[in-house]
Amino acid sequence: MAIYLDNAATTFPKPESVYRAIDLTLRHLGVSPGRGSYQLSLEAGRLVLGVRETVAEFFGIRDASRVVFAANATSAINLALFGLLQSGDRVVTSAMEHNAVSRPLHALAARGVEVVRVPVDACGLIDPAVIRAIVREGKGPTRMVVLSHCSNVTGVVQPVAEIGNWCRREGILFMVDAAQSAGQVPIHVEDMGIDLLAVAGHKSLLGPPGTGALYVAESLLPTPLVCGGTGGNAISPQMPEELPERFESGTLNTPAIAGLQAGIEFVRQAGLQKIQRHKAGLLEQLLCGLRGLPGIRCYNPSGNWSLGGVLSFNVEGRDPAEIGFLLDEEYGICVRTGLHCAPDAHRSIGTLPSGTIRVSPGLFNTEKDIDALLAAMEKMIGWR
Amino acid sequence: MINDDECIALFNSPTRVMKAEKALRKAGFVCRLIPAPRDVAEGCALALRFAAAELTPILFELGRQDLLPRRMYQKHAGLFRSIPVSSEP
Repeated sequence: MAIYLDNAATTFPKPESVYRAIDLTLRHLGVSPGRGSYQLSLEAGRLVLGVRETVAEFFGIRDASRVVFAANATSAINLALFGLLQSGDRVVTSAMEHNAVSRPLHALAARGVEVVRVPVDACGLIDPAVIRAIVREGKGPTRMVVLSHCSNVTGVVQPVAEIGNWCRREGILFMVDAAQSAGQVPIHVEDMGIDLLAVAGHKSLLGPPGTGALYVAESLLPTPLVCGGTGGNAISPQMPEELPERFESGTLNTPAIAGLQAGIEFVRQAGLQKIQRHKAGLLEQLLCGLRGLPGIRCYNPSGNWSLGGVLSFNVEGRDPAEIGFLLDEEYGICVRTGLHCAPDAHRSIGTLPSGTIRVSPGLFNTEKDIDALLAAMEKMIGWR
Repeated sequence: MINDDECIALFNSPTRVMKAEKALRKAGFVCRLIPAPRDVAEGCALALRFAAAELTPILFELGRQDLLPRRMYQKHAGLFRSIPVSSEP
């Protein structure tokens, strides 16, 4: 049995309750939700509404209809960015973003959107004062600030509450890519001044792949990227203005959404702090062990460094890709190597082009798994 | 599907009508989701059906939940009569 330590990509395995919820829903409620008026369809629609309310409650969202289901955080981010930004708009982002943010912004820049990237420190931390300065030095107003909450490379957690509340006072839209942080770090959209929140359902929320969500603040009405059937007002050729239907054309993945509900319930019952402590304990164990090996360089942020749930490192003179290959081939240990789809982040921490070896334990990993990883590393590179 | 002296409420989205159903049931009201009749709605909308005797408290509850319907009708002598939508008594 492989030791899976790539939970920042997607969590695996899932809680038993997630498998059960998906199976039960697909077997007994696998109909189109909110499309028909027969009892089974209504029941599926009620299930979807219940999950929407669960997501809303989990992130401090007042109106559950502002929660739009998406296939993943990437599609949620694309909807928000392409749906709202237009030529002439100015956007401030950071030099730590995942390609899920960087690439849409690159494409939008080609359409006349001005994109400004704020620099970060050696571990990827953003200084809110730098954001304020860059916003103020713009020739025109800044339409949006968009940041990842937690880096998938270093695990650094950005001060989004401070930045978000400042943006709200300044009348600037604030969007957070919470792909890594949702289910890992507490998020409350009102307290943090968040207007748009993109989350992955399949990472720390413990749902299945194919789940994600976008929160859209009540004052916003992005242009839909996908048009089609929405289950109501079918005679109109226009997409409805009402959310979430405006952004949910086509049949929803009810079984996966039911799995997401079970995942979030599992997180709530276990408690975010307890989950954080478990992963942090494993990462501390790993960091401590790696320090005893020669030529190791870790890229963990200072302070409460393990909050983000990942540890990136390199071995002097060794290709991270080779280390990852050998860990898998010789020891059955799954870690992620390379750029983690975040070249900007690696450029910022000085690990471009070969990237790092990233370890991200999950809820079901144990100290034995970290012991096995450390033993494998020791065999590969020896003691200091 | 709809008897005389029953009301139906139409909302502007499927999610909103389901939220209304959930809120009313939670508050103890008897209501049911049905396909909206062609006399009052085009296409495949859902409607929320309930007894006319509960119209006032139901409208009050929906208003309290910020879930007032877009349109309402009461069936009388086989015909649908439009009802003003307001949570004010």
